[in-house]
Amino acid sequence: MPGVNRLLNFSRHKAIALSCGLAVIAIGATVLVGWLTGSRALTAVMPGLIPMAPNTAIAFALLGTALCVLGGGRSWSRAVVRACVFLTLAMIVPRIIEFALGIDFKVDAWVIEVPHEELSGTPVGRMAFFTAICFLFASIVLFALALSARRRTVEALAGVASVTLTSIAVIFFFGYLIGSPLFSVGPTIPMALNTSFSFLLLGAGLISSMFDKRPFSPLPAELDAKMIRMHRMITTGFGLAFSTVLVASILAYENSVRFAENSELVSHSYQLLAESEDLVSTLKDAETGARGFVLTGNPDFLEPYEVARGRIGEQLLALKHLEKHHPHQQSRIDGLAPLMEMKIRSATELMDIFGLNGPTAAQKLVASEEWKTAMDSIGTFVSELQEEERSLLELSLLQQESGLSRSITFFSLLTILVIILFTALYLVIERGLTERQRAEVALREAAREIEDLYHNAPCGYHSLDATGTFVQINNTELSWLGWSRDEVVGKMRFLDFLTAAGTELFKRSFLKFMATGSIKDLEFEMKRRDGSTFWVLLSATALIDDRGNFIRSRSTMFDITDKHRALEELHLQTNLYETLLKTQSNLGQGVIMTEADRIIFVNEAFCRITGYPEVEIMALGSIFELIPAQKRDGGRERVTDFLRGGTVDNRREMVIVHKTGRLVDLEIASEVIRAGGPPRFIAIVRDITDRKNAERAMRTLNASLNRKGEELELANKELETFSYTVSHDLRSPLRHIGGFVELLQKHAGHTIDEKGNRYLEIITTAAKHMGDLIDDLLVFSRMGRTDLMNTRVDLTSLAQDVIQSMEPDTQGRKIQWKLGSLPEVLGDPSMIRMVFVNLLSNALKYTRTRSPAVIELGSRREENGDCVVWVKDNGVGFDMNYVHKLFGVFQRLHSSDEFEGTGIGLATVQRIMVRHGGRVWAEGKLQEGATMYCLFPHPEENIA
Amino acid sequence: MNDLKRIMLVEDSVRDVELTLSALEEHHLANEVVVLRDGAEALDYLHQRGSFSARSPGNPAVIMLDIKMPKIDGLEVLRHIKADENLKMIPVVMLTSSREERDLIESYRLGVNAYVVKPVDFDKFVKAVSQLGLFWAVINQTPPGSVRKTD
Repeated sequence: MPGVNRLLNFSRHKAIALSCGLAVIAIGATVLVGWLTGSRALTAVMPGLIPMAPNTAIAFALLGTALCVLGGGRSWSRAVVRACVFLTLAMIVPRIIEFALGIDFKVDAWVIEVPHEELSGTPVGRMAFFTAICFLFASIVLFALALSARRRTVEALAGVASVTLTSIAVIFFFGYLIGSPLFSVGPTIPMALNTSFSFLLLGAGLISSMFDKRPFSPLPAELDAKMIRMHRMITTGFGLAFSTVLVASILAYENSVRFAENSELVSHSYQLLAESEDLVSTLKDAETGARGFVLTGNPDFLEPYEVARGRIGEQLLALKHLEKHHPHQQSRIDGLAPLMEMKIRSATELMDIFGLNGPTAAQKLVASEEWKTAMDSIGTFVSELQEEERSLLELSLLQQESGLSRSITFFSLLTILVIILFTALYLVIERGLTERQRAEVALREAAREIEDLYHNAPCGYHSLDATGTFVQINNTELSWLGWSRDEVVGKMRFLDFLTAAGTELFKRSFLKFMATGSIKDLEFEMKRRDGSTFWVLLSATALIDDRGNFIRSRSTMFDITDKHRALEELHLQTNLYETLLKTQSNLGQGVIMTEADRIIFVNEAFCRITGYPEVEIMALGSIFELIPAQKRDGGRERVTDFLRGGTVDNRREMVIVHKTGRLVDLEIASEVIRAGGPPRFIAIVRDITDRKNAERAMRTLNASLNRKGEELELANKELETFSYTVSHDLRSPLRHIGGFVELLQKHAGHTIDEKGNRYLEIITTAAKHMGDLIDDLLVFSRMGRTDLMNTRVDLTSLAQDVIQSMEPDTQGRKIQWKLGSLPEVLGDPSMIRMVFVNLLSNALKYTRTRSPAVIELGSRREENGDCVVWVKDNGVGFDMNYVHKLFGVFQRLHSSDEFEGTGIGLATVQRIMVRHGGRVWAEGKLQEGATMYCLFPHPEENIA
Repeated sequence: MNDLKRIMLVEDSVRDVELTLSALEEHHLANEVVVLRDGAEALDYLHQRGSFSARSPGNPAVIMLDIKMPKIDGLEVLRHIKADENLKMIPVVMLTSSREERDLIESYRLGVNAYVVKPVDFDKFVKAVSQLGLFWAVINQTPPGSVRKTD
């Protein structure tokens, strides 16, 4: 229930205001009921006391309602308050005008008829002057509180008014309580007891309802509770004093008026006494004159009589005027007038009688009882009048006296009250001032301390305006810069102290700073007056006004030159380190640094090797992301062991996964860096995929070579088997042919004719030739497959030996050997011998038609160390067009009829030379001899 | 006239046997020639087993051994002979068509006493065989236990 909640949320002050409002409504309503039912007990508190006027009761009901709804704070509640206030004012203002102008509008009877009765001389049912004033105050206060906009002045005035109204109520209420007649009876209408009590409640309610406002709670944010309390005391004290003085002045005025009225009454009484005496004596003069004239007949006696007759009417009027405040006395004077006229008239008659009847008749009349009685009754009348006047005079004098003493007492009390109030106020104010002074001293002291701190703290402080110009700077910073305050403040900009490098940073940062309101840890290099520089660390916050405009900065600066120097050193080292890394990178060496397995650094080459951009590598986090899944566990253990100080070969090979998924072979050299914190692992890696691939290719090649070798071996074996078969099985039938032909010749030679014998001869020769062919082929094939020996061979002695072994075949021929110097070579002696045998036998064979045959052996050494040996003859030579056929197996340039041969010899030579790493070639010309060349490679290069 | 000792010829080729025998005959050396057709037979003969269990005891004066033969080849026979205490003293001559070096080397390694390549030329063949027969069966002093023709 929101209503209940709102009630519960009421502050204490609002609760008090609400209670007071309800109480006031209750009292007003009670009194109204009393008036409507005619119950005097309800209108006045006690019999004999003035009742509350009906208008007063209505006004209380209205203002009480206003007070109750005031706490609502809504627009409707304000409207209600205003309505109540206006209705109240409608009754109050005319009443005040009545008082002011002394006119009677009968305002008090506008709503409820009031009886024309008086109580102790006071009319009943009429609103008192002070009541009206109090209502006026209350209305003003409520109206002010119901204003939607808060104005300090209005609130202050409302506060003072509410305090004043309460003070008046207090004075009247306590006046009743001490029984001071001033407040109960008197010529003016006094305030009723219940009225004053109601004002007390209303005032308390009003004060409560504005307890959070000025003047009771001024600028609460800036003052502490003590100051607020003091402020309230001063406000209340002034209100009390003000209302006391106000009441006192009003009462003093009233008192003076009453005193003046009383004095007038007294003087009137005296005058009346004198005048009445005068009247009596005048009358006596008139009578004495009349009597004298009657007795003497001397008309001179008539003169006082005439004078008296002229004055008596006049004197009577004056008397009556004097007694205008005393109707009783006036009626007496009215009663005296006919007596006086009658006396005057009888004196006139006496004159007439004297004139007509003579002096005796006149004398007789004067002496008559009637004449005497009339005179006596006048005397009695006057003396009664005087008697009454005397008692009135006595009463007035008494009243004057008691009023005076009462005034003296009252004013003395008021004066004492005012003195007390002002003393109290003085004390409060004085204490407040002292405290304020003490606070100010403390504040000044604190300000001095803060200023000292500002100026002399070991860091620079300054403030810049929106243009970057100094508005404030402390001594420390000035001493750093070497400038004076007057030179800097308002004249120089922060930029003026920056080196060129810092200018751009400052401009950028300052804009950002004005936008965001703070900036932190900027580093600037600043120039001193002498041109030297120093480094500072700058942080600042902005001072911003209500509308968000930048006013100035609050900046702190620390001298970080030393730190900066160290940083520069570090920077240099970092540069060096980076250059090293870059160099390494350029060399294709990747560098990676990890903390445990977490990647903290990679260089460009590493990125290139792995195919990941740096950002992506860093995002991978662990180095194990790069290691193929099946190898990760081992790798992690390896690194863990490594970090624990275990041993890991510091150069090893590793496989990682490239971004594209292919595997990359790496060679890694690693180290642990222990420099505080967790140990770091730095590795220099090289992509050895190509090498590994080459190795793999080589292995594959080797394997295939091995396979080829095996195949070759197999082929050789097969060839061997073939050769074996050839040498064994092919020769056997030949032998059988030859053998059995021979046997046939022996056995049946004589029965075979010559032709048959020739055929048998051909068969034998053919078989033999076949045998030679087979033998040469076997040699040729053997030269290709038998293992080479590798020893020093002296070609000269070898050649001599071969020549010698050929002597049997050369007998009968004229042969000229020219044996030049031949070198020593490395090779297989039996094979090289075969070369010489073949070459020399060829030379002999093809020089068969020459006599002498000239066969020359020579050699030369080439520049590269190779050695060329040649055999030159002057034989039949050959056509160079067919030189390519010279070294082919079974290739011959001559017919068997011309020169026998198998066509395998030179092929064998070539094969041997090739196997020795050399080669063989020939030069020749038909009929002009041939030269065979053999090249033996440089000893270090031969022998395959 | 010198004593003619028993010649053992191990040869699978019938023609070669005939040529050899005719060559030996030419020099009257063919009287006591035992011809065996392969290595197995040769070993049976030497150990007097199989079909030769009934032969008269005694080792031949010389064994002329062909290399290429069915069943057990000449080199195997040679290895066997030279490994056997009773047989290793018998001179063995390889009489073969093979000019292969490895055969030559292997034979000598096994302890052959001579290595003769059968020439294709019949004259040379006859000369070679007859010289062999003459040398080993006549001139050479056989170790004890050899069978003499006259025995």
